[in-house]
Amino acid sequence: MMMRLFRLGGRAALLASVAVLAACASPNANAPRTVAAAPTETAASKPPATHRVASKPLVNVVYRKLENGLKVVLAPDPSVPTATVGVYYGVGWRVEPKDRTGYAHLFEHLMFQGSANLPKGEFMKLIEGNGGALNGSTRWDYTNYYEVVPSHLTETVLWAEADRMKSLALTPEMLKNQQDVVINEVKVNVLNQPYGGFMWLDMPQAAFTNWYNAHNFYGDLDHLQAATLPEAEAFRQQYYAPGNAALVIAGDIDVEKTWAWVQKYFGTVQARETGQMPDISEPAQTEEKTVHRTDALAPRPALAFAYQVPPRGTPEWYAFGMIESLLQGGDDARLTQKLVREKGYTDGVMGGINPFLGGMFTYNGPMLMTFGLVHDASIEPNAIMTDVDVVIEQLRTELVPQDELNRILTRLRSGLYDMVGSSTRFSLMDLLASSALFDDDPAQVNRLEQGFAAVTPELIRETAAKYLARTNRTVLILEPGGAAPADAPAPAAAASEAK
Amino acid sequence: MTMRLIPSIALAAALVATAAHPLLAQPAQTATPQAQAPARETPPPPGEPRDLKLPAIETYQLANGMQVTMIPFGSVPKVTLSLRIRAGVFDESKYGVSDFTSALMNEGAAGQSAVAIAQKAGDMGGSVGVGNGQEFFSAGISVLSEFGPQATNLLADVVRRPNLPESELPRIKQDVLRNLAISRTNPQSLAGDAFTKTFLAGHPFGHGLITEAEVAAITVDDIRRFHAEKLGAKRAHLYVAGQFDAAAMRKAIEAAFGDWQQGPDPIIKPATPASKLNVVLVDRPKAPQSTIYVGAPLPGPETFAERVPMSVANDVLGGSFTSRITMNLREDKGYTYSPSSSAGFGTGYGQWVLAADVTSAHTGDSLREVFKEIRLLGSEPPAKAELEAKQNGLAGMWVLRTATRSGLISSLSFYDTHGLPRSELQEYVGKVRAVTPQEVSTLIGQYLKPQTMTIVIVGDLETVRPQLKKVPEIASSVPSL
Repeated sequence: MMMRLFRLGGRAALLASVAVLAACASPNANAPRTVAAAPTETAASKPPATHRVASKPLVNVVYRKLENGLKVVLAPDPSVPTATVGVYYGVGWRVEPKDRTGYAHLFEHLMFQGSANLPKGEFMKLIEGNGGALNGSTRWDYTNYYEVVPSHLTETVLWAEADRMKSLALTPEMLKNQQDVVINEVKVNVLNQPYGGFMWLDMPQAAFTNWYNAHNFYGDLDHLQAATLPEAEAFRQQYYAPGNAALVIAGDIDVEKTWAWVQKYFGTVQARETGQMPDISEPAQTEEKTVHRTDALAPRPALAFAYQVPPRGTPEWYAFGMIESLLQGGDDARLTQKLVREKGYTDGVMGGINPFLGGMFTYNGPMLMTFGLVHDASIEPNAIMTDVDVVIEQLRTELVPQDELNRILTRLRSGLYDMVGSSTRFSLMDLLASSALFDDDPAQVNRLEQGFAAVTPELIRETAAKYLARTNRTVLILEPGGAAPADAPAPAAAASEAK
Repeated sequence: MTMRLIPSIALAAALVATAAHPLLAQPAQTATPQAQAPARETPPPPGEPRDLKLPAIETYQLANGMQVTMIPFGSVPKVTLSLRIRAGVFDESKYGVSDFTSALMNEGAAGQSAVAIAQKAGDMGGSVGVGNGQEFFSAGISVLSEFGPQATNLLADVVRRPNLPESELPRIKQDVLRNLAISRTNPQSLAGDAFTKTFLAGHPFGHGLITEAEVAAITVDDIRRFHAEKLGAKRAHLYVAGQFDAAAMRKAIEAAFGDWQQGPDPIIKPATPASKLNVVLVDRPKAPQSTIYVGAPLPGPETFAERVPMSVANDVLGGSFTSRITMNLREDKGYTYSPSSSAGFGTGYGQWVLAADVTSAHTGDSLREVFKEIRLLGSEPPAKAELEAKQNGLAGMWVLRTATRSGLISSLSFYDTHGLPRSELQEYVGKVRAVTPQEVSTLIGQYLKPQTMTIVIVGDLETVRPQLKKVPEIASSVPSL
């Protein structure tokens, strides 16, 4: 239904980043990628249901699999009488067809339009009309559908999610309706907003070179308009197989009762192979890139810079999680100190690893750590980057004091408790689902703290020296004005000319 | 800092202890089997609902008049402190002084820098900050439970002993001016500003965005005087929610705030909303969408006996995804992505507002459909099943909203601010369930009258104005070129 939207926000963005670190991190270095493994996951080769419980867990994680390949994570916690259910399919915008930008997200909308036993509108009525909330979102490497409901409704929700995993019942009218809705979504979040595409749409297009990582994933309007129903069914067949999905059920649930419902409703979903995934690898960056954009609605210039992130799960990647928090995330963070308080360029630095659209845990491919700010026209971008370099060079050459790292770990623990104690448990759901989908290991939530605690000042310096090099960086300069009309199909696409 | 885009409205939070009834609102149509199609499955029925356990809430007063409310709640070792101080626009010597005071309070305290304060809060697993709205300052910190007493001290430093450094004021002003410029290019900000200025005209709440001249006029002396004279214990209420050692917290609160100056009594000036039709147009040439606000006045929360029933009526009309306006404008017509209406309340007044960003070419159509839905619900009671679904929905949302530290604080502070009984926390769901279909229709008909509405459209007026002239409810009031 919705793609995460975000507006420019100094302080709000800063506060949010604590939660970002809390909700993200994967210690599992060498886990097989779900996507690559999926084609071999046939019913016959499946092991019997597995069962793992962490020893002294922050979260009580029970992990099992159905014969059709569906990964199932159960996380019982009776403290609030609600249950959170999420179905995560291992397909995001990254791999959508080249002539159908925005398609993964459009398809997400179609999943709400009707299935065999729930005609248009009935899914939403079933959930909302019984006291629940629901939504869906499209990200880099997954598309999710989730509900939080009074816990006595858990079985009903599982039945409903299984129904739309099995089939959709779409008409041309529904497709046309959701094309209009999605186009309006792009307008309200991007085309009719100052800084509408700044950073989140623009930076991947500027920094990446592989089309799958570097296209306008909200969609060119003509691509969205060209979508057809047969394409939708083909997309569903290709990517929405049970073996390419993870189901999370967290909250006030009885594990065995719930598992029986899962078997009853999802066990009958036919196993099938997941379609071929394109090559999403990104060549190593060898020189700094600078990209210019104009924004006809923006009254002030803006600046962003991004570094390619070390491979997921490596020690360097953990160190990057610490670096993210050292640089940005509180009034004491280093970039904030320098650019906000010392230099007065802006009221807040926004960004982080996979900013706005998840965090360092919720992706499975090439990624950027991006920071950005809006500043006054009297300040040259070069002046700001000179100050940025002072902060960055310090990380690359000096050891970070241990008490600064300890503070980050304390905030991480605090954030983890909030994730677990939340009434909706959406961050917990994201983390459990991503760990199941990408690493086959949802219990890693219980090892996050020790994973970050293992990062030493030396490792941070070494990682910074390698990955915070200018040759690994892209700088995006946004200038106000320009001739781009407000109804241009995809303002973000303008960035591609610089590649 | 908080820009004054729209008046700070505490949404009528609230609801109750009894969780949703096990009624399926709209069972998916039970099989009217068609020729070839197999009979539809029906959803498995829900099980037995389980109640949310509300905490035992305790409130007491320090000798200087400060109120303290303790809310033991939650399953994780965290504690949230939220100090609300009733100071704002009514206390200002110049417009904006309260905003700048709150902003400068974030620039260090008790002789320590802002960075040192942030580090201290970080060592406890949190962050500390001050914000403000029209009538309230709100200072808060959320930390690991073991640090509750130290967090209390830090909060007292920030609130009572801020450095208020003159050196940081020019930077903060520059930030405000930059954000002001951005607000003036953002269609939702523009719509909110125009709405506020019209709907609450003549009252300080109706000021709208601060101006450049007002920013320039603020001095550090204004700020220091405001802080010294307007903040004090008689205006303050500290809410403590989470897991905490009650005795240790009481001791820490007494030590940190017991000798705080009493300060003046709070100033309360109820606002009166506009009650005649106003149509305000803001031109945004070539905008692909129109941002529309349709607002109607409601009684203030202090006197509005049907406040909860009105929120139920709103939920039928436009307050949820499955509401009539959303189903019509989005799921049927595709005119918009995210239409939504709400019934909100401030001191002395209430407002029902529908906000939506609609395709420019269908701006008039969208308004016509909104008025059609209002008219229909106002003249014909909803089906019982439709209403029950909304009642279930509100009961469920109440659990999600209430079952958090910040949610409990938000509900209680709403009641406390408007002098409403806190028993509503227990009674809300019962009140929601007591609403009848006829009552919904009567409330919509009584309060959502086009001739009393404030309507704002921000968009490409060349495209939009001719469309508006054809919408009968507002045609006569559409400003000409």
